[in-house]
Amino acid sequence: MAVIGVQASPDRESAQIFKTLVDRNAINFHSLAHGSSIIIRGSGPREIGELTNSLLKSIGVTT
Amino acid sequence: MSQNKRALLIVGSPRCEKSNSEAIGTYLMERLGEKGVVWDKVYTYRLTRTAEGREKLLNAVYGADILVLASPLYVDSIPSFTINAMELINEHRRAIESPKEQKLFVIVNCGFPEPSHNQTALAIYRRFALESGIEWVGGARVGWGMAIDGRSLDSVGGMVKNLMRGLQLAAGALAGDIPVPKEAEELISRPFMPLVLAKLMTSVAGGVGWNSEARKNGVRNRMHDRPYESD
Repeated sequence: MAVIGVQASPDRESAQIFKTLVDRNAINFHSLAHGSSIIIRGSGPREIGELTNSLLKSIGVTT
Repeated sequence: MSQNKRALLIVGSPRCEKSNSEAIGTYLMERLGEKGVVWDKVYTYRLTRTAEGREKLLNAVYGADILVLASPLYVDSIPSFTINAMELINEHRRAIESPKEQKLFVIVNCGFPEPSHNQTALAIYRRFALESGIEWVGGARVGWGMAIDGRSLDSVGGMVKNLMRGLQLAAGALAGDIPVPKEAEELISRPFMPLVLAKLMTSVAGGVGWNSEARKNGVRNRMHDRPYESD
């Protein structure tokens, strides 16, 4: 399970809440691997691509 | 000091009057009432369904100086209609040039014995307050709600004495315009009984319930199946 959140501006507390919700929901999903990332609104395609690749890699998906 | 102060209890449970959120919140509001605070209550489940209800909700919220939000825990988060109410309140306040000064105190309750399960929901409420320009004055976590079962706290007995004491302290602080002391949050969040005992009782009661459901559905011998387990 790979989950991507979008934030209007960087906010560490909200990001932590999001990550916790993903971690906890992954248990109910019986997810074999899970991870989450936050994209800041306005990020460019390259940044989004790198972040997405890194997220997928973290859960064992190779492209 | 608190003569003209107004407080609003926002009940965030679909069980409305029969909920633990109602029982806990009303106890706090009654203590506020004793201190001269005029109070009222609303139910997000009912009011968020219609345009008229949503307007009523916003008017009630805007008329209050102190907001007390009491809600159940839904999968580490908040019931959807209560999230909807929070979004409406946030949008309303953002649309006003100088929104009124308001305080928010939150109580989240859950069925798990450990009150700590409510921590993430409480963090979400805190973010809501910060992003809406409402002063966050504290929050508390109540576990093992089944012990209250929607009854008024006075009728539950000694098990909830710490909860009631904490709510009394919180009411004193809210009415007196001083920060809610950590002691109040700690008393409200204290388990009703030793956790080991509460867990055992929950496990026994849960076991009876699940086994009975399994028998009814003819899957009693498949209770330990792990269909999603990988090799």
